[in-house]
Amino acid sequence: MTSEYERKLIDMQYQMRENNSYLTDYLKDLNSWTDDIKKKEENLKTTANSTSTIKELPPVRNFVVPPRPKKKSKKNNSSTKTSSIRSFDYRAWDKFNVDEACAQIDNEQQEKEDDNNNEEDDGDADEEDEEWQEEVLKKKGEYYKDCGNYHFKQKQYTEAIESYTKAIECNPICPIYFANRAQCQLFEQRYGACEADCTLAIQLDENYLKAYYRRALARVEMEKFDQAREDLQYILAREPSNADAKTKLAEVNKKDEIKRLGRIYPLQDKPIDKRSTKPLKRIEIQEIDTSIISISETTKKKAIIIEEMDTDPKSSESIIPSISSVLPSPSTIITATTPLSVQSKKPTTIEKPPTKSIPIPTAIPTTGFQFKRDWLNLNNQIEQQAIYLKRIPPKSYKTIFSTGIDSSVFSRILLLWSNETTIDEHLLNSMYEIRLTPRFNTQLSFLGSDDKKLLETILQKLENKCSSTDKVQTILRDYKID
Amino acid sequence: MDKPQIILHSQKSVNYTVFDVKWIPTSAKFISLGNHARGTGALDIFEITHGDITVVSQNEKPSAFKCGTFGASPTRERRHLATGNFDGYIQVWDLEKLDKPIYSVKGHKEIINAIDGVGGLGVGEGAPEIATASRDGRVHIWDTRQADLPVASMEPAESETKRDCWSVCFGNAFNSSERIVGAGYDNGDVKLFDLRSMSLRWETNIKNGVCCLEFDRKDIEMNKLVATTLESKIHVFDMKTQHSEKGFASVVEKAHDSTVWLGRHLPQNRDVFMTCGGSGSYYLWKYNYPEQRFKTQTDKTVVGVAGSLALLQNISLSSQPASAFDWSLDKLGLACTSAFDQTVRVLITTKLNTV
Repeated sequence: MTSEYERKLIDMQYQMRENNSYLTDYLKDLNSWTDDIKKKEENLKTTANSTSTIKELPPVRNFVVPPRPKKKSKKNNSSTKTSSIRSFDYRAWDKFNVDEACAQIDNEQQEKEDDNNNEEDDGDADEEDEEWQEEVLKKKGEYYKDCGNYHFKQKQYTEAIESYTKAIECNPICPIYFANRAQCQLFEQRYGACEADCTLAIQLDENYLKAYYRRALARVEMEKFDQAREDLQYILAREPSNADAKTKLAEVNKKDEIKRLGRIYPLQDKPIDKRSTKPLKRIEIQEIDTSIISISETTKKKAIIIEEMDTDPKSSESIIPSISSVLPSPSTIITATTPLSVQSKKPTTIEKPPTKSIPIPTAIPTTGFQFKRDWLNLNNQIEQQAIYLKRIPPKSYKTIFSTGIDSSVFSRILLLWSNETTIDEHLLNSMYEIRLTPRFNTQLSFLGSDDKKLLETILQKLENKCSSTDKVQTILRDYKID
Repeated sequence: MDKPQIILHSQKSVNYTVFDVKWIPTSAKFISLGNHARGTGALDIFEITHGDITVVSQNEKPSAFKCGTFGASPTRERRHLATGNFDGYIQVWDLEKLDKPIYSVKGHKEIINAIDGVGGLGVGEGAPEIATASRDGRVHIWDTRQADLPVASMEPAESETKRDCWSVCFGNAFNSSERIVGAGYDNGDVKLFDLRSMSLRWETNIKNGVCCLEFDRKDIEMNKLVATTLESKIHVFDMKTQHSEKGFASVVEKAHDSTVWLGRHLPQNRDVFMTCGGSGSYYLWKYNYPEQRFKTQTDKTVVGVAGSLALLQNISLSSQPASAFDWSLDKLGLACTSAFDQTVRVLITTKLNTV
């Protein structure tokens, strides 16, 4: 017990000593500090005299230019309404002094008389008062605008609109309030009101580009694309570097297009992986001129006329130029076919409408199928077939006619050969190669009389020309018909 | 015994009632404002020198002073004292030329109970402004560049009864446009006015008349608010989180066994403050923050959480109420105080740097 008590005592003594030491330290410190601070003060005084740095201060809060004191007192007298005491305010009625109120009313009447007497002064005073009132209203308007801006930042758009409306009441000729209100209405999705406000703002200030932009936005939402485009183009004319206007204009154009043409969707049953990755574009369909068909019909009629006139070469000749004039591209085939048909008395060929010349296939056939296809395509165009045949190298006849030549094809080939004026290398080669095709001999034996005649003429030509070579000899031997 | 010690350094008795004492910035001097028995105002300048208080100058003015502040002094070099007196006049004095005020206006119909200044002494941003609270229930904001009219004013509505406004303070002045004025009334109302949006930010009633209201710092976003009231209560509000219905969270402490006249935060540590009671006692407190300063409730709203107060030290220096207390901005722990026993005292508080 005693040891604890002693310990506590010792502790306390220690603490006290410590506190004392702290205190003395502090006091010493304090003394030195006071000396320092006195010196500092002296320095401050001297520097204050020499330099005077004035900090840039913000304007006085709610600053309104007060009117001249004389006017103000007058104004106060005229504007102070005797605040009527409410009926429930019993305390005030207790204090109400009737005599005083009567005296006050008398004074007011006198003052009014005085005012009327001093009208000359009042003229100026009124003007000044009006100016002062205007200033007050302007300041009020600015204040409401600030309130509106505060609400806008807090995203309280209805309150912001109210504040801006109050601002407009105070100062109806400031376009900024209208434009700000329009922006709030955009967020509230009241596009009609927004457009109206923007229009008002623009009427007050033509060069207010923000108002044009907001009006364009509202119009886009209301699908008035042409008018929106007008607004945006006006902005771009004034400020070509305005990126917002440009992007908005592109958007307007796109939306307009969608509206006019309707959205384009891919086919429903096309699998997704096969659909186009690029956006779909509408392509307008152009109708190709169908005049050829109609022309062919008319020439058909003309052809019939020829038949009726029978084989009158003159008339046919006269008609041929007319046919050729009707056709846009007079082909040599017509001139070739008509005399032939006239001679052979085959009206069918005349009746057959002369078709448009089919171009010769550019690819040289390598298989029988290709040859057949092209040959049939060319049909009865002898000239073209001749050119086509000439293109084919004779060496490939074996592969082309690996299954043998058709009789019709063979007869046509014979015809072409007979039409050749000169016996050239190509002809010889082709004749040589053709006889190597399978069932050539059977074909020969089954030739018609006309074809046999053609063949004879060809062979005679050959003999007359050059019968010396081996090739020719073999040809003559193999093609011989008895 | 690592607690800070409050020690009386020196004291001086005067022949007038002292209502306010304030340190002169960047000096070892302080001024006292008071009321002579003959009804005139007293403005004395004292200086501490080597363990004693010496009188530098004594001035007498026609009207008794109630309160004063250096808060709206434009620079530290030119020290301007703004005072409020018993007749409702607000005056700004240049300490170099005390014969005439540089700004004077009859701002209130009745006695100005409290005054506060913000934006001066090179602290914070924005224009220096003065706030005054008066018995006529009004709070006016003044700017020395505008004469005659207050820049802003908070008044009760015409038909409402006027309650005495006992205290006023500035806060939340973290940029040039933001300002909040707090006002405490004799019926326990505490109102916060936002000067930027010119609206009432928050109001509450703490049941007992508010003798003193102070933010922990004027030039930061509002953090804590101390309200000292009658019936020995101290309220500390956490001003970081405002709930739409519950307002701000607070902690209440009972101390002094009498009216708590003042609560003053230490300029060098905003969590330490001194309260002065009607029994002449001084209590040094430290505010401890809770682990989480806010919590989200079931309806997704955030509500603040108040911390706790710890009493560091207390001392009783007189039998009369302490009318004024001011920490020195330049020296940690140095304070001047006055009481209704017509004395001014200088106090030292040790070990504040380890608190």
